Amino acid sequence: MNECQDFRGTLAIKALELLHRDLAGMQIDAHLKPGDFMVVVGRNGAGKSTLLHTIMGLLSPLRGQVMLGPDDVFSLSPRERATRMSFVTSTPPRHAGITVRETIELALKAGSAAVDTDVAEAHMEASGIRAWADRRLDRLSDGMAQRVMVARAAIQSRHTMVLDEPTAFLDVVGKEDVLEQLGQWKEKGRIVVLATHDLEAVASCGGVTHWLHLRPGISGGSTFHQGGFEPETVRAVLRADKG
Amino acid sequence: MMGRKISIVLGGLWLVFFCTGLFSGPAALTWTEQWAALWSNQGVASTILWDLRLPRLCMASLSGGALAVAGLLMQTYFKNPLAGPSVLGVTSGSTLGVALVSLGGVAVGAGFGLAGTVFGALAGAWSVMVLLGAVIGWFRSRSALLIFGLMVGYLTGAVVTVLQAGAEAGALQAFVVWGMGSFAHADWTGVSILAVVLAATGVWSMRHRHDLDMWMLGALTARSMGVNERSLTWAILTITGALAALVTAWCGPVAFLGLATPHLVRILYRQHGAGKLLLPVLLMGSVLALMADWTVRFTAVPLNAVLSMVGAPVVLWLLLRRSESSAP
Repeated sequence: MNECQDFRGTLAIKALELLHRDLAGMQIDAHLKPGDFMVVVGRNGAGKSTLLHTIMGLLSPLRGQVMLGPDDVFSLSPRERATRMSFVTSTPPRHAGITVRETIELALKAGSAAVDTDVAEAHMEASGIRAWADRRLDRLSDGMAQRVMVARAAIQSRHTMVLDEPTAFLDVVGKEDVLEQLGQWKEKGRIVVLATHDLEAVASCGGVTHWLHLRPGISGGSTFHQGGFEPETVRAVLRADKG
Repeated sequence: MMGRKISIVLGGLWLVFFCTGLFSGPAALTWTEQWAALWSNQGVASTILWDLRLPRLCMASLSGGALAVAGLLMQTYFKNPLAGPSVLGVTSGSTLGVALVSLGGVAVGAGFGLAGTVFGALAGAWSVMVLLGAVIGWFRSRSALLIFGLMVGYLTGAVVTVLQAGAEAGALQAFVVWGMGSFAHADWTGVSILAVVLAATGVWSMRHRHDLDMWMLGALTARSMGVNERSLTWAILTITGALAALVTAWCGPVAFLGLATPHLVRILYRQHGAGKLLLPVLLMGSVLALMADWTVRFTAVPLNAVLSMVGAPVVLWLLLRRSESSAP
């Protein structure tokens, strides 16, 4: 495992407009470098999920670009993209009969790394999921399964992790676990993009460097902030939005 | 390790049932006669073994394996434990295709040829699969998919009834007997075609086993891990449609094997990754089909009656067991 060979570069969202009739006209710009942690906030229907799917290359934009280093996300093949970016959805898998260890090994394969048992074991240890290695995903609680999915994303891509409300269905402890884990990956140089409604939990876990406020509508737009992610401030701007 | 043991046991069981089936039957043949007939191509004994028993046993093994693998692939793809060729309407589609060729074809003066039956079965199965592929995005719930299969079954059943009402007595009887399911009408053409398609399915499934496992994590997650959703969807629909149709063409609409077999293997085997389940599911399907066929040969109860009498209680038990043991 040679970290130097891994892809290093910025994630740049340039004059992006989303492909959704309610979100037309909202232009999004953001620029992140390794180690940055951006929180995406907005009211329900503001386009958080649509934006994340577009960043991941799973949905075409109306206009604009998402650049990973020198490459447009949409010029990469799905396999190539999977090595540079990973994605966590809000619902953990509930019908997957594979074990935690197999999940981590799948992520290594998706991330085009050779499956090295030692790497998988070390990664499970570092993510605090080693104790469940032989348990099946469909036998874990939502919180445990979601921790596995975050660990899965962290080993799949050593560059960018995109998470769509990963804590939405978790209890207080589960939330803190997952967010603390994200902070660790950010410290190790991942770019983290997180959409969430859990302002307090995210803020208290620290590590947020940027936040992006989505505000669709006629007079809408998006604002990219550096620093200053305070729950009170964010709540005040969200309150001012037309819901 | 555990999985290997199960596969070995299933392989052994398969061999036992295959040999018992090969060397026993209503014809009064001694062991030495049968053994000699196996190595010659002359005489009545040789005809019985090579033209009747062997193709029948091969067809039963392959059909059981094919339906079980189709069931496994469907349950994996739809993330629905109740998916299977007969549940999703694929078998109904095939039945309609065969009915159109055999009953409708006779009405317009065409013959009830084997090629026609195979064509009808494939066309029927794939039509349902294409329809399923087209509407699948609209199904938000797991039960909607099952209702789709049920409704396809009703619709095709209605058309089949209309065709039956207007059919000649001979064609009608042939169709009704075909509908009871049987491995007795096997021939080497059918065995060869099914063997090739099943082998291709095995190769495809092993090559895509990681994609299948990723798919179980959810469609979005799988796509973010590099899985090509479109090609996976069409591959699964084409493969499972072909398997179900070929079995239906030669053996009639065979019930329960596709739905129940993967579950029985999951009970025995702790790990549930698609790649790991493939071989045991294939073997279990073959063994169950041989057991069912053995019952058919020695009791004269039609195949689908045997499978339904055993299959329906098993599926009900599986449902109760599932709702008791684990939350969804």
